[in-house]
Amino acid sequence: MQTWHRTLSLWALTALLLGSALYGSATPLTTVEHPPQPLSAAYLSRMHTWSYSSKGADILRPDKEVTLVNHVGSGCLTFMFFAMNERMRIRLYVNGEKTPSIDMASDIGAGYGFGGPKDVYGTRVMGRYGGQFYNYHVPYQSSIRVTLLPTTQNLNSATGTNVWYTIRGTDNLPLNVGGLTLPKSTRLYLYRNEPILAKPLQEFNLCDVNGAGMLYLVVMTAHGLAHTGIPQTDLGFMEGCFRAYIDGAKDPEYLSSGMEDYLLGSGYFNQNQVYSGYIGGLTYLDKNQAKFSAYRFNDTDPVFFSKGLRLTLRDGDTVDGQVIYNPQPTSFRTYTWVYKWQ
Amino acid sequence: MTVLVPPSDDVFLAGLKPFCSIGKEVTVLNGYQEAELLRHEGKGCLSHMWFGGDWPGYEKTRLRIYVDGENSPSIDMEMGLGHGYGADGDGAPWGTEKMGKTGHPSGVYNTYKIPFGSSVRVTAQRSVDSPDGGPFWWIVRGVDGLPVTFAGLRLPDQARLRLYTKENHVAEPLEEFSLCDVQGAGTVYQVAMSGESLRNVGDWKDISYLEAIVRAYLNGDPDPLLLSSGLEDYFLGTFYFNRGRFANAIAGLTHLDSENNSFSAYRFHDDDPIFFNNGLRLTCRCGEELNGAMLHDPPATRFSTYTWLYQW
Repeated sequence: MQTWHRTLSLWALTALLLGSALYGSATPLTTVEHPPQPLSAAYLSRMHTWSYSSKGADILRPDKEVTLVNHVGSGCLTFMFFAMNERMRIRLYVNGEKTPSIDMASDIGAGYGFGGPKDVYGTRVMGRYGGQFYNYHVPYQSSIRVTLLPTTQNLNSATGTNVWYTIRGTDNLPLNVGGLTLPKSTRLYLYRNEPILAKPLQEFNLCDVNGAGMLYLVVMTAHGLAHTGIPQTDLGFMEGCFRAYIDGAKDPEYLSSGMEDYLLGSGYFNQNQVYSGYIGGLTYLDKNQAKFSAYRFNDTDPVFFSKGLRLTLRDGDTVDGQVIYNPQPTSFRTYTWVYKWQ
Repeated sequence: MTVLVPPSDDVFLAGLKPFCSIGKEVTVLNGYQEAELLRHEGKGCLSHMWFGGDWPGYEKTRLRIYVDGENSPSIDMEMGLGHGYGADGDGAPWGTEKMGKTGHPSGVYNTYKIPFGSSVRVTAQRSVDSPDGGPFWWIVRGVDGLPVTFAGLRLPDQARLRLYTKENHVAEPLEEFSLCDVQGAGTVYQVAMSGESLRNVGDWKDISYLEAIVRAYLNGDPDPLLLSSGLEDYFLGTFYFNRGRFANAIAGLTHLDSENNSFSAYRFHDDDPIFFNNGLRLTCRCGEELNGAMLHDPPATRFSTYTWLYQW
């Protein structure tokens, strides 16, 4: 691996100064009524931005996990960019863990499946303008290691064994989500179904976690396995509601009135166009094949929990005990991102 | 705008409790009755709404939000203009972090932070101009304990979001009319507007009502703060919106029809704040003057305006 660049980037400096203008008082949030004071130069001097980049490194080998960054410190990873074969696995090991808390395929990790949109696409956090980028803020308390795992399936094609990448973070940068600065103990976890084949009306977990935290993002792909040409049958799986069982509750909070509704669509995505909004996006749609991929952020529409969260989805749904339309077996992939703290 | 505040303590975070109400293909709006979508007691913020359904005039569906037991809702809006679009929202799909429309005629959402101190109630009512009977879908969500932040500041706990409406106001050329006229302290959150020329003879001047400057009379000052150099300029367009529709976090043009010279647009002010301590009168004009002379030839115009204020 070649290290080309390790310095304070303009991007990080901008983010730092923007944050620094607003962050400062040690006063608890619940009593803040006045503008926070500007940060002191001494505080700012604690910020240390690190950045690793490589230009076309010939380091990818089938089924060989390769480490790109192994950084020791406490702060946030803020940016990753890769130009490489898609469906590579990207893994983040935080605080020396042996099993990565974030282990993602590069496409679903960037918010799309099935090849994604035909055109360039991007959100504030992730996208594909050519290479894929990820602005997830991943906090670490002692270290963070980033690796790539090429699979045999993905090599020996267009991009081959080379990778262009940039991976950046800032030590001592606080984690801000949805207007709240989260505790220093906060970690970002990714929970996956890759894939799950659901039967009609089956309710399955997207995550089932203990402790306190907040839901950050859900990315999902769905592939209905019936192709009858009848929308209420082929796409009936979209009637499934998202349910959140918060703090051990037996009865869920209904997060949506249907699958596409949670993703901010309507009428089985009746505009028949992909979209990539700040909160939700539809990144692939093929109704003939009963396929879609989409994402939904929950930072501006927060779902907090103190003693556990079980988030579920259903293949189709019922109303008043009656099945709505005729849902069929469906293959789902789901990525559920959750911030948790102690 | 990124908001950084002091680290949240465990007690505060443990007090954040989400609540949510949904309706799935239900007929609660039948008979044109005002249907309750959510009733909640507590102290916090509404944080999300989404609506589905399919009937003519969907955009005229009435949404009302009753805060802290009030009898008259402080937010009483049409589905469409309440989410930044007039007409039938033909520009979908579009969306920002605060609102959008992803389908047709529904898939309408917002993430307005609507604070309440003791209770909040959300209702919907089908327009009497729409056919009865179509089912309705909704999601309404909030968080107990969540404060409102605006322009990087946490607003006082007593801050409330209020909507001031002016619907189907016919303004004569050069008439200056109020979008809101309020007492006390607060800040402008959003302005949404639709305009339709009442003269359409094929002359480009038929839309010259867009020359209007938006004015803010702050704290009782008789002289206004000029907020824009023209009406489309206020909504971040230019030359009578010469590149068509757009939607971003600050502003958007959600409808433009060159045949009847109509438009609808929205403008948020959280990244461009307008605070007031002793009152605000916000005005628009039908066309404008420059150096004492009328600019072009503005026609009489029908305006609807929604002005959202946080007040405390």
